[in-house]
Amino acid sequence: MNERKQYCTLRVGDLFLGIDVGRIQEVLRDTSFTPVPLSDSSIRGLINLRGQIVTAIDLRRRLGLDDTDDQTRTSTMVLGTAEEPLAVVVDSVGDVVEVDAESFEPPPDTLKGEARRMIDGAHKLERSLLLILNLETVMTLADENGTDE
Amino acid sequence: MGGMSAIIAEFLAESVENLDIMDQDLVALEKDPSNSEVIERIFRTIHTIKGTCGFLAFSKLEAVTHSAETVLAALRDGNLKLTPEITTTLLKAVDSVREILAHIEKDETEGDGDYSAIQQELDAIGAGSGDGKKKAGESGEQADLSSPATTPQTGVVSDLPKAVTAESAMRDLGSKRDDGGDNDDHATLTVGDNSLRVDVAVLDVLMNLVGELVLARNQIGQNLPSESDPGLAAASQRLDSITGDLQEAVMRARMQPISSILTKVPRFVRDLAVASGKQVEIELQGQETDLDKSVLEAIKTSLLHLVRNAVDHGIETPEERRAAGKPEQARVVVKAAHEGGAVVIEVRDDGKGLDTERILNRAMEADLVQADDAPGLSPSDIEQFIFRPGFSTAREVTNVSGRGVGLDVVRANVESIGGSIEMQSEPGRSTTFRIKIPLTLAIVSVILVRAGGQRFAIPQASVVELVRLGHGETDLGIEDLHGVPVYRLRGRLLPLVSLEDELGLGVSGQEAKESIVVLQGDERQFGLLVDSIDDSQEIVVKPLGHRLAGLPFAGATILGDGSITLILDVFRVGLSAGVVSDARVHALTLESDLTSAPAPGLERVLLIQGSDDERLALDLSRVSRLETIDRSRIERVGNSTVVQYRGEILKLIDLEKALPERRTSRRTDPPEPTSEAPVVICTMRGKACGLLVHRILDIVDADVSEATAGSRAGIKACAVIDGRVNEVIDLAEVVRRSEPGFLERADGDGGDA
Repeated sequence: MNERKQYCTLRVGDLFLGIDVGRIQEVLRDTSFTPVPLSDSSIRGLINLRGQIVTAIDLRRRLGLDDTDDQTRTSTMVLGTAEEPLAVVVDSVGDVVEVDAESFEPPPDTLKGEARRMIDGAHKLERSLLLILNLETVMTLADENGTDE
Repeated sequence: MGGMSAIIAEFLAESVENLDIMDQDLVALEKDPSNSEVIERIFRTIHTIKGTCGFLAFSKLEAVTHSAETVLAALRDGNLKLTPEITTTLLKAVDSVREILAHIEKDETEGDGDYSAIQQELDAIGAGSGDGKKKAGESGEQADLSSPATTPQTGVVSDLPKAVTAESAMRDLGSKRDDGGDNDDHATLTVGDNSLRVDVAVLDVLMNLVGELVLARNQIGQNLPSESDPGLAAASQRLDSITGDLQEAVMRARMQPISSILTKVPRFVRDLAVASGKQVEIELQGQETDLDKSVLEAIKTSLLHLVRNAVDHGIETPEERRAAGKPEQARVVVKAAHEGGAVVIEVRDDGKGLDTERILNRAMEADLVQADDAPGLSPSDIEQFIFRPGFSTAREVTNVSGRGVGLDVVRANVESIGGSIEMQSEPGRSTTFRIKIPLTLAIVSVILVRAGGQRFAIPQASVVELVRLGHGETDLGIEDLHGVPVYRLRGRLLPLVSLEDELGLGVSGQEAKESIVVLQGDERQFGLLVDSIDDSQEIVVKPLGHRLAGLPFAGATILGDGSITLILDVFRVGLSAGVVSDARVHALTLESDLTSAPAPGLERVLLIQGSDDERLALDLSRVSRLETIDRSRIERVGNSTVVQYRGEILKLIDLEKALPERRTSRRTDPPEPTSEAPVVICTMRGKACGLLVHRILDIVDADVSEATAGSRAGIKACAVIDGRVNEVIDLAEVVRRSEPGFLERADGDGGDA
């Protein structure tokens, strides 16, 4: 049985990531962020989504990657969640790819750090690996686990 | 709901609705016992329930309703005359029915409650119409006020029909009768013909869209070239006015008359009056006053609290009233009216007023005021004490019932939605509470300030005044008081907080701080140092997601240019800066503990009595507040017991369960759970949790240095306090035992930072 799955691809640092297309509400470019003082370090700020205020998480910071070129990254994906929409800031948004469910493999045990928790596994594409993000982990910020700040 | 058959679900929904109407009807009937239409309607409701539950095989429900029906039939046919006793019994029957229905809703069984007593009562009334009346009269003479629960017909003052009126209910019913006079179907009573139910969420969406439309309109207006096509300019102007109208219309759709939360008041007052043996007439005025739905929800419980206060504490017994030369029947007036841009709700009683002397004594006992200062206080100063957190708490602790219980909570509620509360009292004549609240929560007027290169909004309601620095000869600017910045404001020292530093934006450094926003943080004022003060505006408040909870922001808003601005939570800013004592959280440690430290060598402890009469002591420095919570509000989440407390989730720990059983034999029968439970709110490393205890006894200064080691886990030591041996609780251990994760997480806190 060849189950096909669709992922929207995106780049963060040198990672090639995929997010289930069903979760993506829309993609914004040239977003402006209002910083929130004292908030979790991975929160980039607030965005105005047609009158709705949406919190934006910087995926680079969330994955513990270098975030020195902060201001140049403005591509934002708005994700639907059970409660409120949430935005993630990425380096760039790519195409939608369709993959075979069978090409999926869990991450190797040697993958360490924050990325280990946030990556479910990888689909083996012809030329590269598409890493599948665990959105629930990405969206659950530290303070919801009890560690403040 | 999934397993419940549709027919039962429908039966429940219909019955509950009808029972609410019946409550009102019964109270109305007391005033006008001959109103056959009302009797007929009550009869029909009960009859319908009885019929349906016979069909659904709910035998207990059928038995109760059958007995009630017999009484109502006798009333309807004129074989029985309505007396207050009968009304009380019928209301109790309604409550029983409600209880059974609630059970059915839960698990589709009637539960194991015993309703034979109420059934017998009803049967006794129904059996001998003439006889029953005499019996009721007799029992009235042997009135024993101390046990109204066991002998429900006693203690009822004889001319109650006059005592409790429900004009609102009558008016309500009157109008409904006019609409659907010839249609006998009871459904006509429940739903108005010209209205429909709309989910508040839908209205919120509408409101948001309108807000967006306003922004889009503004953008068009700004971008219109000056020498543009006159047709376009005209169209833009039309868009302007239509948008404005639309905004207003949507706002109106969110409004509800205040009567929607007042319908329960007549019955509530009647029950209170009967229970306390008082005669009270309730009058509702200005019921049609419209308020935003969210505001109504926010003040509902506070309003009921004030009404209860009026009946419980404000109004005297009929004997006292007679002695004071007042009519025996007291009046409580609940009045709502628009006043400027706000709504004012008054709860007035013609009772004994506030006993300022007693309040002052209490205040002195609680060390809220020094005896030397007392003579200088005006009556209104003294009256303010009843709003003090901890003032009421002190009374609860010593079990002295009196005016003031929980008023601090009422005030906190009202203030949390940007309102204010004040009180006027005429000794011996009346007490009036006035709540002033904004029409809507959605729109707030704010001032915009700049700090650290960012713009923030501060709600006008908490702003006392604005000060520009460096103007005027006498201005000494910001002075330094042992490392703390202060400013001399008309001779008083005002503590200052730099917003930039407080929000961790202090990178920009030496930008000139030119303005101070003087804020009212609970009871003390402080100044917020900002770069500049820009503008004042009316804004639409939007909530921040839960990911941003716990920060000193009350929400955010979108300004005309589409940019987002955070709204400061003034109280929290002051709190984290340490200029406001956490009066709302540290209610108990309040002034008394701040001004008077315990004598050297002594520790201030809270004495707690366990259900087995054991004595426990808890270091008061850990305690931030004492509360009484309704057990029905306690919820279970995963393995934790929690309660919603002031908009946050508070973990609850049952002290008795957290401590290991003592080796001595416990009392065989566990104490009867009361409907309300005392809770000690403690702070551990900046986190709050609630200890459910059996009873709170007192607060004392004790010498715990002579203590011996404790004999069970969770007990630090044993010490003799007040002539009895007390086990001193090791709070950290108790918390660790019942909520293992709670402290670890707090620990991680320090490590990460």
